[in-house]
Amino acid sequence: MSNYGMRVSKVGVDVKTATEDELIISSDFKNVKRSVQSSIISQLVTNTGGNWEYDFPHGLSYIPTFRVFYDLSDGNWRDGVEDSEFTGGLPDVMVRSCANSTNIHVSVFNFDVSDYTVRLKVFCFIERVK
Amino acid sequence: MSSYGIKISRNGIDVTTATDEELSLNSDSLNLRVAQKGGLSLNTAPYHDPEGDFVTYTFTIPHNLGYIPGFWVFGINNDSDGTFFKSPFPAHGEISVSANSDANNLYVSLVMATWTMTTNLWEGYYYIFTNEL
Repeated sequence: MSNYGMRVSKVGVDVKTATEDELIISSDFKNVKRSVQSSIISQLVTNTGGNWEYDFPHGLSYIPTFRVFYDLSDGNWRDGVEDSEFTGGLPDVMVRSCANSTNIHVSVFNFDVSDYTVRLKVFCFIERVK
Repeated sequence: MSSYGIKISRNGIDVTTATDEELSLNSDSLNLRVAQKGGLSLNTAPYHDPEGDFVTYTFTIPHNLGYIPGFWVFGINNDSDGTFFKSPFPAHGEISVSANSDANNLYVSLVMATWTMTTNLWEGYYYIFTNEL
C-alpha cells in the first residue's frame, strides 16, 4: 500500500487496519473510469444482408477499452456479438465492434428475414486496450 | 443510500441533490475494479494452409482469485490495421476469439481459419476484475 491517498472504510471498521474487502473506497483501487458515451442512435437495417457501419469518435489519442450495447427495438439490450451461426439464437443479427486510436467502430449485419431498427449505445473508458 | 461514505458531484451541481449520473465519485457505487491486466501474443509456425482446417489455440491466464471474476478481452483480427475487437468476435475474418473463466484461470481461445490466414501473429489484451460474476 502506498503511504498517501484516500481510504474510506465500512462503518465500524478502523480505516487504518481495514482489509481491501472492508474498504468502501481507496485511491489504491484501479477502477474502470468512463470517458465518454454516445447517445442512443438508431437505424433501420434491412433483412437478408443489410449492413450499418457506425463510427463513434472517442477523442482519445490511444486505443481505449469500450463496450457496445444494442437492441432491436424490443427493449432487450444486448452486449453484442450475437450471431445465430455461433449462438444458435434468433434473430440473426450480428453486432461487432472494434476500436482504433480515433473511433469505436460498430458493424451491424442483418442476416435475418425481417427488417430491424437497431439501436446502439457506446461506452468508452479511460483504460486503454493498448 | 447509506449515511456514510463520499460523494463528489460534477462542477456546478449540488452534491446533496445530484443524481448518480451527475456524480463523478460515489462510494455507494460498485465500481469495476481491475485485479489484473496484461497482454497476449502468439507467434506460431505459419498456419496458412489452403487445404487446412480450423486450428485452436488457448491462452491460460492464472488469476487465483478463488471465484469467477468479470473480465474483458480485446484482440486483433489478424488484419494488422490497428483496430482491436471486443471479444467475443466471430470468424468473419481469419480468427474467432472467445474467453471464459473459472475460479483460478481466464481462458482466451483463438480459432484460426488456416486457409485464410495471412500472418501467424496475433495480439490481444485482457482485464480481470475483482468483481465476482
